[in-house]
Amino acid sequence: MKKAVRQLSDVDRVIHSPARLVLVALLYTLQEADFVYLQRESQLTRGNLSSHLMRLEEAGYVRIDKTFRGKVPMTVCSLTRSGRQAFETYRQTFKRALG
Amino acid sequence: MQDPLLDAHIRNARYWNVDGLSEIAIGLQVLLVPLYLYGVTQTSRGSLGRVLAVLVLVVGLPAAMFLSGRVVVAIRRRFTYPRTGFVEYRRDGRPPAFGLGLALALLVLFLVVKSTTANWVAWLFVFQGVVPGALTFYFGHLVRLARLQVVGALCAVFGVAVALAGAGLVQGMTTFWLGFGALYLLSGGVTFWRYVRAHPVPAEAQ
Repeated sequence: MKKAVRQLSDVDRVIHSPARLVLVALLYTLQEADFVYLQRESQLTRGNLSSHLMRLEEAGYVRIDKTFRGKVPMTVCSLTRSGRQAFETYRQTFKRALG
Repeated sequence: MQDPLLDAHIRNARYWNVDGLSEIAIGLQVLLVPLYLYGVTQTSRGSLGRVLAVLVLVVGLPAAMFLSGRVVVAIRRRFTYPRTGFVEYRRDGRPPAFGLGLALALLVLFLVVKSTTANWVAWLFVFQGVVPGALTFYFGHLVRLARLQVVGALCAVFGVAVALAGAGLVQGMTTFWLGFGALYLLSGGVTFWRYVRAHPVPAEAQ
């Protein structure tokens, strides 16, 4: 078995979840986005999105800022430097293994 | 499986065009060109009207290009973000190599056509219609927005139509850019109107 294929077993499990992969990929291409946008684009329920974002925050991949726009609370998410690196590593691992 | 990164780029690009404000901005900027051309043809050299017309091109157009992004974002903060979510796009600061390369290639191609073809004015209109039309059509295909494909196709057809009509340089340019701007403005206006109607502001955001 190719070494690159064997490395798939070591892939980052935090990012590998389909829902979290969508969220990380979205945030990778953006500076930041709020909860409403992420929910709309990921098609996740509020509860699901919250739990996935919390998981990513715990891993240090996502920064979550709770702010206000006027009197309306707004949850703004952005990818941290380590989250960005983790996503790049994840993509490279798959590219190497699957060609 | 589609690359999640490519998919994310497509989603973000589609969201940038979800409300039609970008098309309205392009349309308004483009309409400054026929305004300038009309002003130049209707005024005499040295008159106040001519000065104003030149100012539209020399000051108005660059200022509009410089400010349009900020104005669009400011309007989005008011209308789009409370409805369908806030996004801050990432800027990598690199010059758009593909865009510059394409512009250079087209310029060289046009200079070749101009030096070898007698009726180069007609070809200019064809270029003006087909190149942005094809780019808009391709972008619409890429981000799966059918209306941009329609706008791109109409833009190309319009350029060819102006060329076939045998219009002179200034008249043809004025007609073409007027139609181009109006097309984008109409598409953006209808999209924005439909977007606002389809996405009422959530109660908690009022």
